[in-house]
Amino acid sequence: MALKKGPSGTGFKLKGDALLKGAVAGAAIFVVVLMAALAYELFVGSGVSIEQFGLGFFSGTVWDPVHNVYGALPYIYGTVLTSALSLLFALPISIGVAVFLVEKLKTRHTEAYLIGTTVELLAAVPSVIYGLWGLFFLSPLLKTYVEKPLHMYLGSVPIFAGTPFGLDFFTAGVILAIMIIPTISAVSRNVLNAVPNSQREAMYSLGATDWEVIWKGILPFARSGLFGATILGLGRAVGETMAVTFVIGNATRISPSLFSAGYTLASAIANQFSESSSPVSTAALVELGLILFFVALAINVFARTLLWRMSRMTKGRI
Amino acid sequence: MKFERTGISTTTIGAIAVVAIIIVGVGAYLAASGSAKTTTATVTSTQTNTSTTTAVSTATTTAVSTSTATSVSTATTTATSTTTAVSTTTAVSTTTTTASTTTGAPASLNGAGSTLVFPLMSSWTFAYQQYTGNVQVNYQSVGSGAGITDLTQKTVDFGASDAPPSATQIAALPSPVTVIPESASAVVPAYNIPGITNGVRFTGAVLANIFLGKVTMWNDPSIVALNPTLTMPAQAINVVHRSDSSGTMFAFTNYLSDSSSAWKTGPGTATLPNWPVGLGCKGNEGVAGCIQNTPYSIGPLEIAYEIVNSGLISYGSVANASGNYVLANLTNIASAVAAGATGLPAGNAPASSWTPVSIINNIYNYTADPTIYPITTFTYLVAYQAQSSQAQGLALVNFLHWVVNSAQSAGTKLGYVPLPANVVAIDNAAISTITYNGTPLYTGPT
Repeated sequence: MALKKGPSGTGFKLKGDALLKGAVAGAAIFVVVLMAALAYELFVGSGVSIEQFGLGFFSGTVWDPVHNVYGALPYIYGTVLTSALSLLFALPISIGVAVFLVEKLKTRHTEAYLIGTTVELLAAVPSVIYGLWGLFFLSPLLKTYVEKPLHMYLGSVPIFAGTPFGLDFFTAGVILAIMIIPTISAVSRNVLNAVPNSQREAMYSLGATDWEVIWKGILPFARSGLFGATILGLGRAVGETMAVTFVIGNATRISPSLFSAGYTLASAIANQFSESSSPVSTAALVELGLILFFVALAINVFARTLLWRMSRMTKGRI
Repeated sequence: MKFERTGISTTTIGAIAVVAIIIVGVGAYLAASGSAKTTTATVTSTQTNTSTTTAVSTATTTAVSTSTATSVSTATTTATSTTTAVSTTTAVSTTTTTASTTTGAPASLNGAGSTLVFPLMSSWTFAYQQYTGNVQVNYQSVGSGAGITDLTQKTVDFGASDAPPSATQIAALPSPVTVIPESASAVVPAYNIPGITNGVRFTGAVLANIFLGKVTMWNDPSIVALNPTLTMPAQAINVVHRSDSSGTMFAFTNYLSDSSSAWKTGPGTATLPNWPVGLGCKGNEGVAGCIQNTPYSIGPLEIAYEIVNSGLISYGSVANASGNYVLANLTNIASAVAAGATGLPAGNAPASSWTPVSIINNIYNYTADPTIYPITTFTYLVAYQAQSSQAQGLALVNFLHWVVNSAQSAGTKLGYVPLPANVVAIDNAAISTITYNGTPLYTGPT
């Protein structure tokens, strides 16, 4: 039997190696085929709705299954708003955690390990537990100690207008922030670790303080990687369903106030899919799924590209 | 290797083989679950139950013959004859081999649908399993609409819906169905007003205006006029409703549509209407939780929840056609059912004649009985008239007959009202229209 040429001129010495390569390639191809099939099914499933509403689907504000009028704008608005809020709350904490672990706990491995693992364990909590915890614990807490005072003193500002009930964009944003902290901080940690020591040494030799080294030396260098980590976290926030459904108030409306109840794409699908009886309503929900699918896909591809570019720049693995 | 002479590399062959095996495996599984209606009998536990060994041994041999010959199952045929692990009596079996479709007593019935009857259905399935000893009824509360969809796709034997099947749903069903009302329940306006624990009265028109967002304060003149003895607070009303679709909401919006033309032309009667105002909370428990956590709130809750958790959340009385303010309890709900179960289609009528049935509509202007509670609704079981399997069909009609005749009183402690005699008669007639190969299946005592 002739030896097959493997990569860089090495030959497969055993038949099993070739078969193994084929098997794992097959598994990888299967996953790609699955993704394509998913996208295809979403397109086909939403066909009726795309035909009927076209682009008006994205700008319509009324979602009425009884009268068969469907407009996704309130859901898109809710998804965008809660994700943006979650990034706003999560970013300082996640970057802070990553900086602390990489810069300050460089030599103290036990502490770094403990804190790092605990932060990552936040990701291990099931989404529905976050929802229950949010509904019964966090939401009343935020309502009494955060939302009501904000409304009382800053009620004239549009984003703090409207009586807070605890089940609104604000609480959803906080829950989502807690859920994406582990993602952003884990990736940021890797990004910051990949920053070459020469950067730090150069800054110190110029007489910079610790803070200046971090703020002016390391973070700008790792900018694209950190941005990638953030976008990855955003990708997770966009798709979160159960945690958000419990605390967002599930009201189809667009309101500038953070204390107003709202709706997101994922919650709408979760709440309404089981009872959608007419083909149009099912197709409209599948179209929401299609939008969510492509948004999440685009966000993740963008994030991965940024991280890949960062890893090429630093020649470290991210 | 030999095939290398064809020019295709070993790598490619391996890749194609893996993908092909996965596709064939998935396809075979789907074909199996579609045609023989058995869940794959991957036997893992080896518990033997001596009281049913005879039934089991015949079941396993025939079950093997109907399951598809995926490469996995052929390897386990010898194993199944020795391990008697067909657990027909454990209540938590998720992989049950249904016995052969032509011999022996069936092990399980599947139903899905309304969340409103879920507590009642769970107690029924448990009691039925004890009553018969070997029939396991599995019910999933996925929502009324999803239950009918499951029935349409023949993944369940019966569907439970709080609303009678609509014209669209009936059109989607591949063959005619019977509609069998199996219990009655009611919706109450629950509220949380600090300082007022009971005694709040509502009318349909006022409730409609509250839920439309036209009445926004608790001390609105229309509410104060109904409650002269109470001091209504000058606070905004926080409306709470279901975020998911629900038969409870169907009944409630049915009542609101009758009470207010603005509601009828606006959100209308639906399991998931476009609520103009309010907070959406998931499930009855979600609505209850939201009401408890939000002062000055109001929301529709099913009476079963209130009866089981008595005293937890206050609910108001609603005015009926005679002008009495009725606080819902099992007695006045039963009176409402008795009064409103008129003009029902005959037992052998087609499903479409059930579509417009509504106790709420029937009793909206009913004054002959001043004690009735106006927001009362049936829930319906829906099943195919022509059953495709004799054993399953027989099990189904026996279960339905038991539910309609023997099990009604079991619901009272859970907050469900037993069916009146005229409805039982209609249901029995409907059950006798369920046939297999043209002959009615039910042969037991009527």
